[in-house]
Amino acid sequence: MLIVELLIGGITLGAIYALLAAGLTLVYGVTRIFNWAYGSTFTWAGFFLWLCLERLGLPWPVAVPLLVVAAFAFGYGFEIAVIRPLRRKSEWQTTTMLATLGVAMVMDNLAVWVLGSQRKTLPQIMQGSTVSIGGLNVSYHDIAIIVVGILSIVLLDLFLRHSWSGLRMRAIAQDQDGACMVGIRHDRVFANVFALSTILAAVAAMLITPKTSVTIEGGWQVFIKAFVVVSFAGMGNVRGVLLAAFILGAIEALVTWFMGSLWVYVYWLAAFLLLTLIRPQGLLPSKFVRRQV
Amino acid sequence: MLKIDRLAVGYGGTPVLTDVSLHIEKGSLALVIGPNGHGKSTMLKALCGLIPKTGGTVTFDGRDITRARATDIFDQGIVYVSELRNLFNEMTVRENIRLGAQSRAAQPHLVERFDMVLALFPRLGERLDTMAGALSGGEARMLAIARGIMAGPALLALDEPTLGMAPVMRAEVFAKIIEINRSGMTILLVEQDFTNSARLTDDIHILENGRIVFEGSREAILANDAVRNAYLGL
Repeated sequence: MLIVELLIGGITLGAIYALLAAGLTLVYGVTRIFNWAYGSTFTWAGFFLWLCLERLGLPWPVAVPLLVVAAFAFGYGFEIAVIRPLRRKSEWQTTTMLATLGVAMVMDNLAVWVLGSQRKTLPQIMQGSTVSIGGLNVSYHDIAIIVVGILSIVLLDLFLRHSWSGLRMRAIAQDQDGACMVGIRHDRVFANVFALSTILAAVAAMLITPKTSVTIEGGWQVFIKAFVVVSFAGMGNVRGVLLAAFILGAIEALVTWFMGSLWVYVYWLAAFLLLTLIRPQGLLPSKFVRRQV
Repeated sequence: MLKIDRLAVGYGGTPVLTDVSLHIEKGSLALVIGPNGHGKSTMLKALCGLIPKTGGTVTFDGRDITRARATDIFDQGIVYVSELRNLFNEMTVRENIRLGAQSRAAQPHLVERFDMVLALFPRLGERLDTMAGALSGGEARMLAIARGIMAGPALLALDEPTLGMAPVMRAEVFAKIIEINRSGMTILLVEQDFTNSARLTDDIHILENGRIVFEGSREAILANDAVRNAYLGL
């Protein structure tokens, strides 16, 4: 029974990591830009919710749509203001990566300046409510995290496979010149990818921060974990992140219970090292060689 | 329809094209022939806005497109099919063909053009759910042409579509190019292989060392000993 309880905890964590890793890998897969500001985006999404719920006193059903709209606007604007001007110049892969690191520092310091360095606690979504499944008490909040997390990844996968926007994103990810030859407008697709990735980070923040709290360090911790999940899955692989996130979530839940949370990174990195030795291409690698851009 | 006037292109200060002038009439099939490394692909890429031009002018249907961006040139109706094919290898043949009609102007014609390209290349119809990366070289070239046609171009720029093909497959692709041209589409074809490709049209241009050195029909070229010896090695 204990193992089942721990695995449910692992799946809950896995759903959060899957959302975050999907956003990170989507941006890298399509644009080849590693976004260092992703963890800070997660933090700011938490702060935005805190401002809406605690300062403005808005209810959850109003705060959540506002968060999604703000996330879309921030991601889209981030690409236009920070990424696009650099992408048109030489050495853009290095300069854009450094620029995202700079933006992360600005965002973190701005958060301290505006909101202070104390952790922010959000109200519970479904306070104290639990349901008994086969003798196990599982909170509605955990169920919501698992359902929303998995549903978001499934919807993202369907979007990438069947919508025109998704096809365009995959086309650029596979061959930028080929995408140009069929008339795909890179600027628009890149902005949409950053917007979508920011929404995923915001949804993850919405799901997990009421259980934890909002801190600047928290953003960097989830960023590092999302990076390990992405590397575990294989860079640019959205389907693989779901599997990788659940494996690493389960490892985290088990290690935290038996050895303490300090050992999580040790076991994660050991698992990552083992996978690198056995399958250096990641869990679910591509069948065909990806063209370099 | 297309007027290229004294086009010049260079890579990092090194000139590749110095003086390329071409006039292509609507509905025609123009062939640019020349040795490897003399600027044929560079000419097509510059025409389609994929690399910057350093001199000259390009007008298409009366509009100056010399400085236009690749996506704007695509929207004007010039579609480039690269010698490298540039397919989306991790997508199916169906998705690759579909993406050819991704522009807002082409989307309403998706179904009719899909049927048209499958009628033109029945082999692709048998491979619709195969990943593009798993196709043979000949099939991949057919897919690249099919994807280009899906956009409904006014001018299709084909860069060595038979490169590396067996003679039987090459003849099949040339027959398809004739068929596409007869349907009313203007084609600018770039090839190395004079012997086979020169039979397709009388509008032949020889490109050598970055400039057009001779223009005429196959008969005119064969009748000119200097051109045959100097440029075609025949």
